[in-house]
Amino acid sequence: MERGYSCVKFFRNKDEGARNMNCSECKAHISEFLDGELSDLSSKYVRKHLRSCSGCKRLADELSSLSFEIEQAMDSIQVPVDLEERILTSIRLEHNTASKQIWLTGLILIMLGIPILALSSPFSLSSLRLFFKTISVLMHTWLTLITIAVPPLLGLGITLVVALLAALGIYSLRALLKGLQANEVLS
Amino acid sequence: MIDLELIKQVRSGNEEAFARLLKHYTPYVYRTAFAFLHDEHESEDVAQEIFLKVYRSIRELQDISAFNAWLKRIITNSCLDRFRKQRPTPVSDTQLNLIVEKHPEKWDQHIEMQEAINQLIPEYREALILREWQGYDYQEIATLLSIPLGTVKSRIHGARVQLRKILSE
Repeated sequence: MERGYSCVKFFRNKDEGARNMNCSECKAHISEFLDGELSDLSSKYVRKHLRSCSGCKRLADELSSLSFEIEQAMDSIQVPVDLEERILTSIRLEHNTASKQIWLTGLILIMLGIPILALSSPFSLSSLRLFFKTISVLMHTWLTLITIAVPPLLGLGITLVVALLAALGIYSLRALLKGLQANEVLS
Repeated sequence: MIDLELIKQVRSGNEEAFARLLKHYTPYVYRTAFAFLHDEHESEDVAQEIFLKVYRSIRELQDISAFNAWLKRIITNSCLDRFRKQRPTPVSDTQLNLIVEKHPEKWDQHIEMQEAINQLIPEYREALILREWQGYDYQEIATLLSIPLGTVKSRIHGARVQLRKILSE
């Protein structure tokens, strides 16, 4: 892909090779050239200009050594000696706190859940019965409708499509929740 | 370069393996944070935050061979996020002393460079660090900063020219 747009325009507008790139055009693209972000053709013309212009060559050399000096300066940043240990300690602390919280939440749920279940067991049983009865009626209605209204093969096809859509829905929901978690980490 | 076996061990909850991973990456993580923030406490805080994110979510990493790219993205995003919330701060005396003690002959030029980078406008500074220290290409920087490719080109070039000017003053 051609990246240096104005550089390309420069070469298209002029007779290739007939005239050298001037200094301001070269300076405008010098960083892209040094970073390897110019196309082969554009790089070739910048290189050609650098061979014939000592001022631009000096600028290219200076910017190039600047990159090296930046890296060296960053490498010289002193890392606090006990940083690793402190990070590890804080992670252990967070891990232990999280484990304790899980146990505590589980215990509270059980302690709250037992009396609620005991008190509402007749209600829970009737709710369960109602749920299964509703499912059974829905299934029966669906099968009756399918058998009466459409031919058997088409009915089977529609049932399979509905089941597939339901499975896809569950899968998408899982992927969406996973994606949200991942975005939280990367943000 | 860290080996995949170590990543597998970290994912299985091996604490010793995590300590080895921490030892390997702490200098790079801290230096990257310091390059952006220029503040010891903030940099330590971000380094801690980054490793906590790694610890919590390494099991969710689908392809362990992409660990380095995944970690680099966490580092960059965490640093950029903090950098945008931060107000400019000068280099601390402790940091100066640490560098002087270790490299007395070179301290002035390294400090001078760190100070010069710190004097760049924030837009130039982040683009320059992403390119020169983290090694991202222009297209990746455009994506990370949500800016057009042309703006990346002008910011990187502008940062270098400005840096050269600051250093020559």
